[in-house]
Amino acid sequence: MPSKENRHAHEVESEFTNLPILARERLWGAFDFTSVMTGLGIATWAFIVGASTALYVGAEAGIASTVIGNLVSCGLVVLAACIPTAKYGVEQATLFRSVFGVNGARVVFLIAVTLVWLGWNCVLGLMFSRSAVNIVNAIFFTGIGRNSLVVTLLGIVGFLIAWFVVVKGPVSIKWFNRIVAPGLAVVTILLLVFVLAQRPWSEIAAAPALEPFGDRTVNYTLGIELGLATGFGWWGVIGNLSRLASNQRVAFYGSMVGLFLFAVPAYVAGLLSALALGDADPTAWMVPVAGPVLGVIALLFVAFANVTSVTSTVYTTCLALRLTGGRLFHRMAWVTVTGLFLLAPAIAAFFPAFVFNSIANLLAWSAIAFAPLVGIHLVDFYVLRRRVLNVRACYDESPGSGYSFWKGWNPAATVGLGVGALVYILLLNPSSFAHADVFQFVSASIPALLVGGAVHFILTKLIVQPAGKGDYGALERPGS
Amino acid sequence: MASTDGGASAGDQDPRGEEAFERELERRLGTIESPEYRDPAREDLPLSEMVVFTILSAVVVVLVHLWGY
Repeated sequence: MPSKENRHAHEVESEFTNLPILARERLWGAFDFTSVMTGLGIATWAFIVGASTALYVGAEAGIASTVIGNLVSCGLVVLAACIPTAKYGVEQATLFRSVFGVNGARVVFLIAVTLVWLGWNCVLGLMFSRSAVNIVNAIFFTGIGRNSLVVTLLGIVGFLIAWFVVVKGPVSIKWFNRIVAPGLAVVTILLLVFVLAQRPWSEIAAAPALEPFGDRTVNYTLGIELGLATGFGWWGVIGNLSRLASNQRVAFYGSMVGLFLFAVPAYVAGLLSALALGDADPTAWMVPVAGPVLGVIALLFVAFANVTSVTSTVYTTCLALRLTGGRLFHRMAWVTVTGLFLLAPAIAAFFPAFVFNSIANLLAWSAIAFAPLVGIHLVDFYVLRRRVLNVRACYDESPGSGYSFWKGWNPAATVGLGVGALVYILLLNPSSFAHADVFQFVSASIPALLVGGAVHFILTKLIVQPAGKGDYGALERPGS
Repeated sequence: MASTDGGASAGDQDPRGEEAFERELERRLGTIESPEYRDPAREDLPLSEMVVFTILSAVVVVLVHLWGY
């Protein structure tokens, strides 16, 4: 039995590495886990996504499409990412070897997750600095521009704060979220109250979308598609947080409450504010809507909300990087990995206008990968493996490992991902939003998810299982 | 900064880190595979609960669609 000191060292250590979490090390009960997920869900990106929806649909269709898209995608992504990681206490990149193989999981995480969250951290840093600039402008009656050098410098300050917090680990992230998450919920409610108090509902409901396409159904489906993309975008990040949840029920409902129930009002607040004020920049709404005092307080919470989201995403992505990035990242100090990860967003802070104008593209491009990945993950865990994994095989990188497949690659999942992504692109161009006729009835993410999962299932039955690869016949065993 | 919180992981700038990591991993896997090991998180969500959640979600989707579209 390890001494108390050693036991403490192991407990801390496991939070920073891909070591499996033991029962006594699960940090987060229902309240804390829900707070963390709420802090993740309610960030300025929620307001930005709402404002993006306002480009295509008005208030009522926007609310409906936001609820539908996020409910469907959050339910699916939480089942795919949170339940397996919570069950086994293993972080997602490691557990995902059971689906893609050792090398496949590494490539998927390095490309999809790291790049997408790098992109979102650029946006969050920009929102932090623009909030700060708006605070300064409101208090000192200055006229600092949205894309000025001050915005860049304040963005870098935001990343330094986030770096300090994330280096302290999940305990500090938990306390940070305990303070900021409730404050953000208040900001969201206040934003909704003030917008609705200043403009009658009938006026907001009648406000036209900002840049709609010509067809009403296409616009509505685009709204749903943005909601789907938002939800599926959680795939790479939430699994590493839910592995610290005390049980699967906490992981599932805590995630749904944080990422859907509390986040959707923030999306709606963004949607209605953008429609009412005709401005897609959330940091520009607070002072005009709530006045200088409450507006500045709201901006303070919005600024810190971005830092909470940066800390959560950097923690979880860097944890994955340490595993998937090979020996270089594995041996690197935690402070160095997180610092390097934040370096790219810090550089991007020098190009605020470019970052802000690329948000919609970032959302659409991320769905190309995440929608089929969620489908493949669901089929593999729930249908093919009946919710039973071999934890030891997840850590075994030898050629004889149950999850080595062929030289560390599972062709079934890889082809499924490729075909799913192709289906998405054929239905919706993520850069121009040009779309096939059938898109308005089926969206792009849902077909990509279904096709990706179906291809994975069929190829697994035809090729992988007959070849005896992938340990698909595993029975419930100790450690499973 | 990391070291003040004990945040340095196995492998942090330590030439013996990888060996220590493997040892700790093996210890943990041994614990997990022990017949005496109990973790409440291993208990699966009941299928009935997932079905109820799915049905409720479907109802919400239909109602919201009818209202908003």
